[in-house]
Formats: sequence, C-alpha cells, structure tokens
Amino acid sequence: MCSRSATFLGNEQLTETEARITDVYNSLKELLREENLSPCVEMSLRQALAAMFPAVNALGLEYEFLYEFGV
Amino acid sequence: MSSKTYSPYWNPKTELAERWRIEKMQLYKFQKTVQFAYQNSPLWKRKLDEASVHPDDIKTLDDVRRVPLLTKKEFLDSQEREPLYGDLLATSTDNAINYHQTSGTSGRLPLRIVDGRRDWYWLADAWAQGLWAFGVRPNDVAYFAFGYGPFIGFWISHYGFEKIGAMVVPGGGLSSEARIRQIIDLGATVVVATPTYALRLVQTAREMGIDLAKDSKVRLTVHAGEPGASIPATKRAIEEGWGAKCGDFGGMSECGANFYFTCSHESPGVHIHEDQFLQEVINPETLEPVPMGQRGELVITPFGRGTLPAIRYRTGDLVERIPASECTCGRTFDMYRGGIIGRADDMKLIRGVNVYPSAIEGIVRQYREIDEFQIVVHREGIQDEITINVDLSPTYPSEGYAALCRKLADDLAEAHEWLRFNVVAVEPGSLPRFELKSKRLVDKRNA
Repeated sequence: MCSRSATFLGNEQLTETEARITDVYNSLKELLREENLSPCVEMSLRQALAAMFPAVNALGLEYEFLYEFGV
Repeated sequence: MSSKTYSPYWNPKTELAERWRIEKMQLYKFQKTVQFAYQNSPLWKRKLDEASVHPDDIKTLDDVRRVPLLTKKEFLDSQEREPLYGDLLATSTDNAINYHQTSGTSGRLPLRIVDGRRDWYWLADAWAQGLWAFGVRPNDVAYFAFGYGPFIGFWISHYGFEKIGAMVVPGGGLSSEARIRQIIDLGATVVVATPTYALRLVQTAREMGIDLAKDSKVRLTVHAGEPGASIPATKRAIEEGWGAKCGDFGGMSECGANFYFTCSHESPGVHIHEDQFLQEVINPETLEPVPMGQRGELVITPFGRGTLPAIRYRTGDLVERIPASECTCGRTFDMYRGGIIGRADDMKLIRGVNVYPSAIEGIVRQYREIDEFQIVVHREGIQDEITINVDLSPTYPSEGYAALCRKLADDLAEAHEWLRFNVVAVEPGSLPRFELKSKRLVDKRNA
C-alpha cells in the first residue's frame, strides 16, 4: 500500500517503520472512502487522519491537502 | 511515573537535516502548496495568471520569487469584497473546525480566519515542536494566563501542549489574583502569557505579598503576541520576576502557527521553523532578498494552512537572519537575531530619526521602578515631539520622579542620535494594562 519508495527529504529508501507508518496513514484514507460509516466512526477516522498528517509530513513521507476527506 | 528518556529534538529528521535536504523539502512543499492554491483559490488563480506564472514554472527555490507577494490589504479586501472569508479561501468552510479573528485596525473589519482539521493538527504540531525545543515535557503543568476569546493568541499553543502530553490549565476569565493563586496551588511549571501580562502578574503578586520566583514552581515562561520576550531588558525582568527561563515564540493569525521558537540553549536568537514554513527576508523597498545578517521584512509561506493559503505573505515584521551555527543546540534551522526587531509600519520618523517602539521598550524596561509606559507622538507647531508617559510603582517615592525622568530621557536620547524625548511621570496605575497585545504607541499627529 505504500505509495512512496523514498522521502521528499532525500532519496533514501523508506525504513521498515516509515513504510508501516505510511501504510497506517493510507489505510485511514481508504477507510474514509467507505460509505455508511457511522458518525462516530467517520469522525474518529477524520481525527485520526488529521493526527497522522504531522507524522508523515515530519518524516518526509507525505505532504498533501486532505480536504477531500473532510479533514 | 514514566521514566522514558526522550530525544531533545521533536523531529530529529528535519531539525538536524543538512541544508540541501531542508531546501529540497521546502521546494517540494512550496510547489505543492502553490499548485493547490492555483487549483482551489480564486484569488491565487487570478494573481498567478496576472503574473504569468504557472505552478509548473517553479523548479528551484530561486523561482519562488516569481510568485507574487500577498499583502494584508489583499487579504482584507478579499473578505470585504466577498464576505465572509473572501476568495482566498481554497476549500469549503464545511471542512473548518474553528474560527478566529484579528482585533481589527484602522477602522477596518477584523480579518477572519478558519482552519480545517488538517490545518489545526499541523498548527498544534508546529507549536509542540517549538515548545519541545524549549524544554517542555509531558510531566509539565502549563498555566494559560489567557482569555480564550476569538483572537487566535494562545489557542494553538494550548493544543501544542496537549499534544506533548503536558497538563493544560486554562486561566481564562479569572482575575490576575485568582490566576496567581492557581499557578501556585496547582504547581504550574510553565506559564503562557504575553510578555506584558507576565510582568503584570509579577507586579500583582508582589502586591499580594508573593514572590513568584520563590513561591511558585514555574521554570519556563512562554510568550507570543509581542516582541518583548526577545528584548533583553524585558526578558531579564521576566526571568528575574519568575525565576524561570523566558522563551519567545513568534506567530500571527494570517500564517497560523508558531513560526520561530526559543530553544533550551543560551542562544543569540530564535530558531526558524524551516520544515513548516518557507521564510524569506526581503528589502521592503526593492522586494529583493537581503543578505544573511541584514535587517529586512519577513515574508512567510506556511506549509500547513491550506484553507486560507497565505503564500509569500508580507508580515511587516523586521528581522535579521543569522546562521544556525551560532547556536549550540545542534539544530540546523537558521535563526533571527533578537526575534522580531520591529514592524516596518511601527517605525516613526521623528525629526529625521527612526524610532521603533521595541527599541524604546528595551530601554524603559531597564528601569524596574516603571510598571507601565506609553509612547505618545504629537506635533507642537510644525515640530514633531515624542513623549514617554511612565507609570511608576506605587512604592516608588514621588521625590525621585524628576531625577528618574531626566535619566530615562538621557538614555533614550543617547540611543536615538540625541533626539529629545519628553518623559512624564503620570499618576501610578493610570495607564492602561494589557492581557493580550499591548497598545502603547499613540500617534496624535494625524488625529
């Protein structure tokens, strides 16, 4: 699921931990595409995705705008 | 109790990065930010088209200068033209989770700011990064001497402390006396306030018979909203009054989060958040970049606020950038010597001499007998005059007023090419006190 093979801070390959963090982040986006989520689940996923954004941003893994997910 | 040992760096990967990595990251984020703004913000689409710049044209950091600067006037005009949030807005306000506004100046409406969830978490993270560098840790108890109104002020800082895991105590709506009691009773280790209000709490505590340096557990004071925490005399007064290390954290509503911070080392300046913002220093007249170490206007592009993308925003703040190597903390983020030195639009020209309120504060604060002061610029006949009203401590003997005023006038003149300053002692307690941004400058020349 990992969308990147290197960070935007350099050209090094992602470490195993970085790849797993990216997977968690992408999983949240995938889950938010599902329909019929209860309000509790959807809003919790939005919170979780917003909370994960600084982590993937800090590690140079992902930098993007998440408004399409309501985040 | 957790005994975990943490890294001294919030994000070692960026804070210790080599310059080429920082620049690669900044270019990548800048390109994506401009692309997003071009596609989603009508104001940016128009501005870039008018400048004949397409996001794809930005291939190097030098190309950043092809993107036109954004001014506060454009921001305000946009919101007046298209209420409520103007055509700078780049996403639906359905995505916003909070609203803030500036205080409104010069008869204009306040600037309205909205942030989405992503923006807000980013804002809090930027604050957390600076606070961590200053020495804030999860076992701290942070007291917010802040009113929690619509001004963004310390709101984001509150969430930054929460993110670190510190306990946050909101002191909104309480009197200064009640806040002082809580700071002591709850064992607060960090106090968050404007520099002016931190000094006022010291004065109020003294009137209550409390010495905050001895009677409280406060070890760090966190300041924003005014430049005082980087003005040596003000910083020293706060540190002595609280028995704590005083930190300066720059921020502004238009750009969101904390954009520079004080680290825990003895340093000649404040570190720039180079991973969260692109910060340029330009000559306000020519708009060209100024060399390292020279004074210029700060221009900021925040990388985390997409709702209202303030790309290349002219802050009006004057700074002097110095290299990271002048600090021993190990961070590779450059610094601003002395934080915000002044504002381009705050400078007053008095009989041919440039006068900055922050420079006056730096001298006035050396006088511990002065509780508060006010700068009045006025015209006598055809001549501009500057008067400093000083509000002396009630315990200071009135027979000493004249000598103190004479000495302060001499000190101010010496620092300003012997410009004459009128210094007047006013009734103790008569000048306004401030909790948020202080307004000490009164220019009556055009009233």
